[in-house]
Amino acid sequence: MMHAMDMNRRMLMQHLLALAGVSVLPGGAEALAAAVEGGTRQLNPAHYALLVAVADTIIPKTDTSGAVEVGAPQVVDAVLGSWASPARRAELTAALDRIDALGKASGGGGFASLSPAKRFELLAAHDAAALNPPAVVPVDSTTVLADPQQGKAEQKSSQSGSLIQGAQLADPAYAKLKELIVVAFYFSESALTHDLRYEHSPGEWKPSIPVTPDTRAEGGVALL
Amino acid sequence: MFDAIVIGSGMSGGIAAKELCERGLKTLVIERGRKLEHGTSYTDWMQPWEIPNENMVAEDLAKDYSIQSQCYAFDETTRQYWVKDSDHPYSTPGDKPFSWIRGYHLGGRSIMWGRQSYRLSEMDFEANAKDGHGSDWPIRYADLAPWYDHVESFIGVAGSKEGLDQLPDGAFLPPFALNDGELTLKAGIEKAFPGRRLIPGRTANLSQAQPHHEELGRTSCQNRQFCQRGCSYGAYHSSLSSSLPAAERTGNLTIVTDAIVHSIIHDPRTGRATGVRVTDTSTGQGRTYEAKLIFSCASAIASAQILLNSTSEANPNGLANSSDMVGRYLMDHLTAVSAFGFMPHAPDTYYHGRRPTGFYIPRFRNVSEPGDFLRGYGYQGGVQRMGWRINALSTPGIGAPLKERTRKLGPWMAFIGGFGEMLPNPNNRVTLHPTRKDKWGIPIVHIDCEHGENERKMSAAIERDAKAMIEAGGGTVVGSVADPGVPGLAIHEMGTACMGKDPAKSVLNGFNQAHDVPNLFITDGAAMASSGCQNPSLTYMALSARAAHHAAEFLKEGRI
Repeated sequence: MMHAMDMNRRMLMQHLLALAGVSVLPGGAEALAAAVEGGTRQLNPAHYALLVAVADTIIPKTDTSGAVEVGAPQVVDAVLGSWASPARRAELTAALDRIDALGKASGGGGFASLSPAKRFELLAAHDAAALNPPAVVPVDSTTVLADPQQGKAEQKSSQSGSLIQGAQLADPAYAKLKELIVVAFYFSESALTHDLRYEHSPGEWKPSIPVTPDTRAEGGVALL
Repeated sequence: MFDAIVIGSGMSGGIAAKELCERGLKTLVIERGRKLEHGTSYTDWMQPWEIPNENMVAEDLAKDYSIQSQCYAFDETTRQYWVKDSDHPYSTPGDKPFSWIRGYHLGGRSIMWGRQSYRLSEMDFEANAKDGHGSDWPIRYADLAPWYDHVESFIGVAGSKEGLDQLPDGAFLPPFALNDGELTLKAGIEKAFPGRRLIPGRTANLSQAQPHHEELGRTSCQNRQFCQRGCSYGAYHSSLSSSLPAAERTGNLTIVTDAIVHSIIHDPRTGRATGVRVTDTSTGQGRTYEAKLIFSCASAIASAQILLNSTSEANPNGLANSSDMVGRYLMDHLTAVSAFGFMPHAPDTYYHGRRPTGFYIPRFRNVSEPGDFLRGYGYQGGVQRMGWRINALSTPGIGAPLKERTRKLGPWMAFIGGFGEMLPNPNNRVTLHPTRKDKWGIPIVHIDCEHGENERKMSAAIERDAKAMIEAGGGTVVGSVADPGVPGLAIHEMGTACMGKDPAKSVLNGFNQAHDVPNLFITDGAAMASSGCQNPSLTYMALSARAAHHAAEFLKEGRI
């Protein structure tokens, strides 16, 4: 099992390498293959390859890096070991299997073997069905608007809201899987640099600044 | 032999220790939890990508935090600050849950507190006398006002002067200004409801550090908004950043950690407390410490537990309990009731920085407008552009469109949450469990507390007013909560050793001095005769400073 400390150490190593100018993860098409290779994984190779393909489809490389380029599959895989209970792990793996079945049912091979366009087509439909009815804004007394879950999943009391209200969704396990991937991406240094705006220590509070076409939403783990 | 023992190192204990040490008293602070170091023990250095488990507490581990995890500030970055419920049990009646949120370490909950700092007003000190609930406060606002000044200046409170009788102004640092969404809401509310005000939240963050803050190594707030991880800048007041360092520099402070106060020792011949019995949590061994003065600042429920466990032939019902009031009048605030909605008419602007507070709406019910209940409530809230997580996950969508929408600013959304006053009720009570003990052999507490009819009526009004105010601001309400929730989750538990004029009906006099034991002072939330609707920590600190001043005087005069 990979512990949080191990994950920290690995991340720290990546950042040190990055500081030294070493490219940690290859970009583009190589990334998929490279991300699947090597390392101690929670998921078996087939499931991990599937996770990589799903992550790449949910957050693809565009003008900015995608989930695979920033290492989101590795983070999610580690989280499956260090955060998820055995029951949760089984649910999430089953959610992956359901996505794989989409590929097979479409007449192609497994999901990971499909073209990006085909993967998008199948997963977009699956996503819409799985998240039906759409999640609502959480109901939580302490809720905080910018980040109502405060970086957490639905592990609080029944009083607490949850962004994706598991029980109300057609496929709560898929919703959780998607959330793990999306959060892994948006917590990444790359996404917080290029997709969102994040300063660890903003310094000054400016209560009103103009919005321009380049204005990006603030990222990070907000409490208020 | 010390001059003074302070039980507990949190919000109240830190200030009590500082004030006693500054008056030349050799003071021992006893903390039941482990030692933390300002700066090095904190997790504020963690970038989002460095936080384990996407900031979720491991599911199997979270089972040990079944109560603590209900707290808004509980996550992987703060997990170290909360007790494991599995290690620190308490009991409640099956149909009356109470969520007791705790942190056992040097500094206590002053590390994770919400920092909102409001004075009680004359109206609050008169409330019990006027409607007959609870014990009449033996002090009035004028008695505490200079001590509010004293504490506000020391800890640093950012806020705006508003000239409101129900929420007295103080010695403030510059406020954290309202954003444009909040200004829109403010304009709508104040136009539709004369007498209601929406003001910047008053928070114990240094918007502008003063020289006396900098002397203690504290600097101005960096607007990071993860205060609850601990702040290496010392930009919010905590015992670790502020009061204990001030105590330490006098040379009069001794700190002992990992020692649970089991009971207070009482000498029936003199009627005085002589010291405390502690259990060392690392060895399980007991030992005693002696002092001329005892300050109990262990938190409301824990102070009651210590008094009730301090039985002797002379005090069969516990120490300072001839009135049978120890443990009674447990209060918390109603905090779950709230409403939120979009603010489509607010200007399309943004803000920079993560301000450590939001807005505050001072009490208006039974002030400028009537209510069909006793007492009243204020609100805290904020108006913010909806954030990336909701944008990304609240509706279906994948691929490039998902990235595109997540990058954009969301609409303005307003959140308004009530803080309602619970009536002091002697049946809301902390007792010792008749049979169950913790792993150190100390009887666990049994907490029997519930909301009554007044709280239910108030909750309905809190929700109704919250929705109406969002609408007055031009907003569209998209949700609200009517249920006041489980008591305890405001983390404002108080009242279990109430101050009062009559020794037969209260535990403490107007100096927080036990009627029965003149050298015993209780200055945490236990002392509160009523709760007001304001966040109470500032009042605990003001009471602690005032009591320490008088205790030192009494000692000097040979009166105790």
